[in-house]
Amino acid sequence: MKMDAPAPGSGPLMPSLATALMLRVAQGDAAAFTQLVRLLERMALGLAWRTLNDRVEAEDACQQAFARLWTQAARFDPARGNVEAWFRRILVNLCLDRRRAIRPVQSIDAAFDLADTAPDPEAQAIARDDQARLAAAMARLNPRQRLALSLFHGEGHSMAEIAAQMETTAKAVEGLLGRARNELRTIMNESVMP
Amino acid sequence: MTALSPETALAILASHGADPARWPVQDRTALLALAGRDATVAAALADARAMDALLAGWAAAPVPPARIDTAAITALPQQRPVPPGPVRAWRPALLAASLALVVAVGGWIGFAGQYGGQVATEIATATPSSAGVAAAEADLAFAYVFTPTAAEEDVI
Repeated sequence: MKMDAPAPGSGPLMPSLATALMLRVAQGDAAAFTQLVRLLERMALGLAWRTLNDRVEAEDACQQAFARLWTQAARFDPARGNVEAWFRRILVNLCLDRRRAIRPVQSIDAAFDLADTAPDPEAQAIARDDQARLAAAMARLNPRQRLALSLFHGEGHSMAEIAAQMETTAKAVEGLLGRARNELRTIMNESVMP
Repeated sequence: MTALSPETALAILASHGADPARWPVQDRTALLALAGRDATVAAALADARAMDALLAGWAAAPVPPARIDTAAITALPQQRPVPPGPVRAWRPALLAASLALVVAVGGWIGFAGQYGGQVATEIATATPSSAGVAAAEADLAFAYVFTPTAAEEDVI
C-alpha cells in the first residue's frame, strides 16, 4: 500500500488507513504511530511552514502536534471526523498560539536585489522576481492570513472547511482572504515603485 | 441568473480569486457575464488571475521532509480516559437528597416566618429603655462618622 502523503491540493488522505492506524495508536502502538507520522508529516510541515513562515518554528509546531496526537489518542472518535481533519485542527491551533512575532527572513528590497542577480533568461527572471517579492510580502502578513491562504490555495479547502479549521465563520474567512490578497498586492506593488 | 452588482463581483474576486469553480455557485454565471461588459470587473479578474498563479506557486513549493522525533514522542505517557466506575452511581441519589434538604429548609423558614412574625414586630417597635439611650446615641455617632457620603460612595 502506498504510504506517501499526497501533494498539496490533491485531496484528502486515505481515511481508512489513517483511521486504522489511529485506532492502533490509541492502544499505544508505537509502530502504528510512526506510520501515521509518515503519512501526515509532509502535509503538516507544509501547512505549518506556510503559516509560520519559519522552518524551525514549523518543525517545532509539528513535533508538538504529533506529541499531542500520541498523548491524546484515546480522545479520537472516528464517528466525529477523520484523523487528518482532527490532526490539522490540533496543528492549526498550535501554529496560531505561537503569538511571538517572527521577523521577516529578508526585506523586500533584499529579495528584489537577490532576484535581479539571477543569470536566467528574462521570463524566468521575472517569475523568480515575483516569487521572491511574494515571499517577502508573505513575511509581513499575520499567521492567520497565511493560514487561510494556505488552506484555500494550497489544500483546496472551501470557505466552510477553513472556517471549521479556524473556529470562525465562512464570512470571516472571506474577509480574511480578501484582506490578505489585498495586502499582498499592495506590498508587492510598493516594492517595484522607484 | 441573479443580478450582481460590480461591488459584489469585486468582493468575490478579492476573496475567492479568479477561478469560477471557487466562486459561490449562485454567482458564477452573473459574475462572468459582468466581467464581459464591465471594464473594472474585467481588470479585477485579470489581476486576481495573476495573484492566483503566484499563490499556487507559493503553496506548491516543495517541502523537505520533516524531522519528527517519534521515539521521543512515544516515550511520553498516553492519557487514558477515566472509566465510569461505581463511585458515580450514587451521584443521582446525592443530588436528590440535596434537593430534598433544600425543600425542607425552605419550608421550615416559611413556617417560622408565618408564626413568628408578630414577635419580631414587637421587638422592632419597642421603645428603648433609658439605659439603652446612651448606647443608641453612641450608635448614631458611629454611623455619622463611618457612613460614607454620596461622593465617598462614588469613590468606593
